[in-house]
Amino acid sequence: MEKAIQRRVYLDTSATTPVDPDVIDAMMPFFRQEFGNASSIHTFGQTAKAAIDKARKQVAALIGCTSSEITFVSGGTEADNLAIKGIAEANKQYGNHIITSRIEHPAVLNTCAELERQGFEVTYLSVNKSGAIDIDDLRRATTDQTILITVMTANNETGAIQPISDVAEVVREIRQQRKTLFFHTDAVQAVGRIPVNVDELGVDLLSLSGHKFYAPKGTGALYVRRGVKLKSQLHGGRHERDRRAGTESVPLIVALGKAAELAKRHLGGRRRQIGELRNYLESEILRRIPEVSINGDVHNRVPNLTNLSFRYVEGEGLLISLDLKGVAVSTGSACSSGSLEPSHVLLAMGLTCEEARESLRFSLGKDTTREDIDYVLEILPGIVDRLRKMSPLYQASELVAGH
Amino acid sequence: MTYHASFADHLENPRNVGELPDASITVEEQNPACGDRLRLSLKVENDLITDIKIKAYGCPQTLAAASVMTELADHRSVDEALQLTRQQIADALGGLPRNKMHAAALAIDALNSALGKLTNQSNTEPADNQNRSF
Repeated sequence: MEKAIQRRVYLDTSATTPVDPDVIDAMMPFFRQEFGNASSIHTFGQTAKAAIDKARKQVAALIGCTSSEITFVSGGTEADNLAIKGIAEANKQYGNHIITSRIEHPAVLNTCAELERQGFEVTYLSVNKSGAIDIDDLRRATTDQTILITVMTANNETGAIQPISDVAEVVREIRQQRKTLFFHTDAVQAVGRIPVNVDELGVDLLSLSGHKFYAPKGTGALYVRRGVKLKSQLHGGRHERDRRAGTESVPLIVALGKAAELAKRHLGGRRRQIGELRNYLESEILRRIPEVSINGDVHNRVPNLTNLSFRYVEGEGLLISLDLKGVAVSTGSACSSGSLEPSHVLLAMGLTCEEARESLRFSLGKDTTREDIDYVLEILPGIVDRLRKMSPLYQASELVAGH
Repeated sequence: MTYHASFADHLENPRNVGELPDASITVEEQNPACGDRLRLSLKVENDLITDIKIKAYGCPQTLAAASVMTELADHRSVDEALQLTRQQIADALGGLPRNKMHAAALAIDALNSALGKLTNQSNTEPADNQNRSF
């Protein structure tokens, strides 16, 4: 017995985005007509190589670097692995210390954990209530063994933007004494949503992922500043300046290039439009539903998302109730095998386990409409009310509050 | 739609939500690992469950399992209710993945706990409505 869904609303663009039709159009010729191997000398190969070169320029233009500083990879996770392991392994004779933050994506955290198993030391910086690292903490954490600092540009759960150029300033100070310190940022949630310029940020390496800005999954790039040496993690042919062996996926690289071009062209407009809708969604939820709090820094975050905790109800119950009404959102906490794994990001910000599991992330995109938001605002209060009436915590709270 | 209709129905229209002012017994069980909670109130007359109410906090499977348990236990004898199994709860929801069976376990544990306490009470002292762990 299936119920008809009135509407489908996708509010999970921080997880992934649909592929832009213009991006699909750009990549399609490279499956059948222009299918050459970019390493081949003949015309098929040259055509493929020219397409890759063009895409490299498009991606470079988006983040303000030169083409030769872009290495195409399969996505954010590979970019993070290549950056962190590549730098650590290429510089271990200079030191064994890495600094990161407690709110990084697992692609960074688990790569650092792997390096710890290999004998590196890793410092995990705490964050404040707004979800940002403290520069003085960073200063104190650096030692003469520190070879790499890796801090994300914007957090995937709260959208909080980190003080990247302040970190770069610390890196510059330290470099007055010793050259072998590198700064990497995972900018997966920032690229295409806010202006990202490698020189303004002052980073040496930057990871980006195409499927967060309307390119297909399996696309991504690592920016490596000219002159920075890193050890390749894939050995084979001499592709990507010896940084990443393997025949290039021309259609995917072309797609990433096109998506980068579109992201650059539409950045300002999308940022404004999506930000306005996000603010509308957020302020109306706060107005219509009592005891909801915003997680993260409302003044300094990417425009497309809001992370909210709904007291007394669990995020997953809200998520599935919304899904049953056609609305897709996400929660950072997962309950499986009878054990709860609350969001490491929200816990690092000082939320209790309960507050963390009561959180929900709404993330908007270029195709989100005001009608979409109005639909969510129409159904959400009833769902929250139903789950609260069912919650033993809600009644306990009412009793305590003397209602 | 990827959800079983019964699971979706119990999540969207949970049965027997609330508390019984004249409950024979009220218990609150908690899954210590994940913090899911289930408060269960029963009214038992002549060994028959005549009314049942729940309040639940936790993942959606926990809410649905609690709801479906009230349907399966309502107007059953105490002995019949004690025979209910986790698998019956899961089956009534169209099946639960292995990593969500704890939801069915919590519902059965709460039911067994309430019925067990009730039996102890009737064997020793008159019923005491304050017997809740919350």
